[in-house]
Amino acid sequence: MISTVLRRGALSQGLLRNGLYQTIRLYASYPPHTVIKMPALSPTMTAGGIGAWQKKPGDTIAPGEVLVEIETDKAQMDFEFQEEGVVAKLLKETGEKDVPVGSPIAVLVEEGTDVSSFEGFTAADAGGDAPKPAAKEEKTEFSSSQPAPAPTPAPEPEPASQSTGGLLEPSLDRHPNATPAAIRLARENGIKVDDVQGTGKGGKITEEDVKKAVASPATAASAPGATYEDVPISGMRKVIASRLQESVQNSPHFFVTSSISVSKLLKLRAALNAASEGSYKLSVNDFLIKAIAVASRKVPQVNASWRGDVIRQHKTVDVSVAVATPTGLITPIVTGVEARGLESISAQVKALAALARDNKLKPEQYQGGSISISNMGMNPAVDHFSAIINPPQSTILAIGSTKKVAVPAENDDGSTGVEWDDQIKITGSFDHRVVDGAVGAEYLKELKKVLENPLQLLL
Amino acid sequence: MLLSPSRLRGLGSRVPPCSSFRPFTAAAAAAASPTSKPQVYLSRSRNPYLNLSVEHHLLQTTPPDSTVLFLYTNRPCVVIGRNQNPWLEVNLPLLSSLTARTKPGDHEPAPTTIDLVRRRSGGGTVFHDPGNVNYSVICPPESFDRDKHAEMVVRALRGLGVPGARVNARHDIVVDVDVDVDVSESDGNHGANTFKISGSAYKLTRLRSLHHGTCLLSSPNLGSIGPLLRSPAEPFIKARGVESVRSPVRNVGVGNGEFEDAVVAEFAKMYGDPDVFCEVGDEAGAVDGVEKGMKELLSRDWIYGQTPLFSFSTYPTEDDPRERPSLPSDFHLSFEARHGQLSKFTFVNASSAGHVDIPSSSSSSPLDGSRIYDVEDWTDALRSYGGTVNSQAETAGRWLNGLFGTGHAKTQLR
Repeated sequence: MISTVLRRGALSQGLLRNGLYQTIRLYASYPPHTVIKMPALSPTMTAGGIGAWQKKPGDTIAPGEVLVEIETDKAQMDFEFQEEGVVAKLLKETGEKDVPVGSPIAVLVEEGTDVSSFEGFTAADAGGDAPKPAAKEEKTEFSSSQPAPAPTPAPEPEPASQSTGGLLEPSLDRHPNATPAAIRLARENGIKVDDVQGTGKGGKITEEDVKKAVASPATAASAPGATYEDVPISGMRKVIASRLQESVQNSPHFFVTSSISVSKLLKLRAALNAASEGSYKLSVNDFLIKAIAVASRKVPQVNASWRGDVIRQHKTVDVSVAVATPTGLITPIVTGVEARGLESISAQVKALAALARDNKLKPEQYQGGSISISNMGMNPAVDHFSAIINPPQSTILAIGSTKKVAVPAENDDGSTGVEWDDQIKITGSFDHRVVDGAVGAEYLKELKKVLENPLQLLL
Repeated sequence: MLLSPSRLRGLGSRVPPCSSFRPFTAAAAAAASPTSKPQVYLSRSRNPYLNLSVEHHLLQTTPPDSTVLFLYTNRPCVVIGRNQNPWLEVNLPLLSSLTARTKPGDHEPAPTTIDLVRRRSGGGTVFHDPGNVNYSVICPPESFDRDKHAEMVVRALRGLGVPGARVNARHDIVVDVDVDVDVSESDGNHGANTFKISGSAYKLTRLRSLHHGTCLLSSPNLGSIGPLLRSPAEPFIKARGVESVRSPVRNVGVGNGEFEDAVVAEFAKMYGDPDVFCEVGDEAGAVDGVEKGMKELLSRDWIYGQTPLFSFSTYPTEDDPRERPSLPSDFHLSFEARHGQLSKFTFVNASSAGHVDIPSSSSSSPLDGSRIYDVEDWTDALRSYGGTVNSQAETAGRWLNGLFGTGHAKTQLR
């Protein structure tokens, strides 16, 4: 019994660190095992086809070895496994198509376990397949990606040149009554050929008609005067929508705001950057990330997540950092912040942000995280804001912009005057299922303490 | 140091051969050195097995930060994707009839031969011939994008006077063509007719990404592709694995040389003058990695044996309830094949029972365990089934031969 518990502890640490959310299962009469699930080999993958298995039951697998080939959208890829163990059972046949990301595909055990006992193990025993993604053509991902829920405006879509008018067209009307030349000309000039008045036989739209329409876009007959436009919903937008909605509906949010003096922090930052000789350039965000971890040592409850039947208290602080990309919000993770220095945090954030913008993040780089930060400090209009928690985490810190605030100060002659202090407002959003009101407030207090006296980061 | 092919051709000299395939020999300075970034290889061989093996070798050996362009043209062949089923995708009897029997000692396949090739990238089935030029770009995973190099080819085509070329949602290259008949709008085709001229497929490894595609320039065989890619066995097979997506096709109508020059020029515009630029010929088959790759691609275990599980039955089943076409006589035949290995092979009289009993694992069916692609003649194979059905072995066997393209001495693939 004890040995099982000990083994579980040791192995799941490594798995959690990889963000693969595989846990050792004690299920029915089967020996302890891990279920390997279909990975998301790119941030937009929702399902894949199983190709040739490179390992069979009984084979050992080491980190970096290919377990199985996967095909998705005409791309052949190798699924390189990151853990070590022995393959006990393959749950999917070569050739199975549209296996959703997250579905069980194989069973892994530790060295020395009897593999033959898994012969009758099925995917149903493993918990069943993950739900099928909504539409095959959409490259959306539901359970695996974690875009930041902070309410940042999405980039404006390119205005299309066509409007629909809103009514269902009878099928006859869908064939434009126009000559091929007219259609081509209309297409080249970006106007909807249907909107052009036809002067040919039977109202047919001729090239001349289109030319006139192109020349006089103000006339009612030609350019479409769109009063609205329906923009198709991208995969990323769908994911953001569903996760934010899930978060607000399921987590009882409450918010605590604190005004924090960052004058000393800014001085420290300037001093460190001056001494850097170009090897690093720290930002305020780097300090904030470090402070979040330091404060979590004093109030660990915020670094925990609601798991339905348990509350998972994380031992490391993995900070999900909200990054705005052209396609939407995503939160790459800086792992193990409690053990990192500012220089390391800074380098990590920069590297991850670059990958995020190029849409090159690997699954383990954005899946997981134990606490989040969303910084809108670069927008001077934002005094403070309340962010939406990133499920299944329980806390997110929303950072406003720096303002100069007049604070009372002692003059040299003893009279009271004012001096200027640089302040930011930080709003913590907490999940009341995990974090009580007073606990949330206590966390903000510790955060304020360490940010206002940043040398305490050393403690 | 501009090495554009047109420049070289203008100067009267040809593109230099990759001397003893220099990049892949021990003295491999240029291609393997980390300073080589863009590299261009042109193949002069028409051997599809060689060309695909060279491509795979480039994928495995070029430096991780290099970007490589490889252009090649094949003799007539049908190329199926990594996870596809040749019995389902290809008209094997037609292929087999076109493949003339070669005698030992023949070095070239007979002119009507159409090879069957399984490539290592995903996707569906395509037909190659000398009027089709294939392009292949290998780049680091960070710069991988499904459309980037298809767009590059589109720019090359537009420069050659093909204004309607564009990349569609499936990452294929299509041309929009105006026709003189009444047009209809469908699939966002802008009210014109749209034809596919190039299909794409990808292979992604941890260190490198490969995107390759075809380009139909001037194939004389467009009319024959349809029958070749429709399998007579299709109504009877339920397969896993990737299915092909059919599209109407068309030739672009430019010459191979012009196309190659234009693509190389666009590639050089994107990545700079190539550090390596040479020709590959049949002698590349002697290079270790290429030779190994060719051996695998030529083996029947690879071409036929790498087929995911499929089932075949002459009667509707729960798994595959489609109506079946009529058979030449009253028999029921069904089997499963996993990696080409037969199991649950059933051959019984149709009139014997209302429903057909699949043999359980305890009863032995003579063909279970054999490889379907080793069966040379089904009339012989089915004769091992005794009892009343034995009299139908000849008829059923001939019928199966007609579906699978067996029943005459097979050519030896080299």
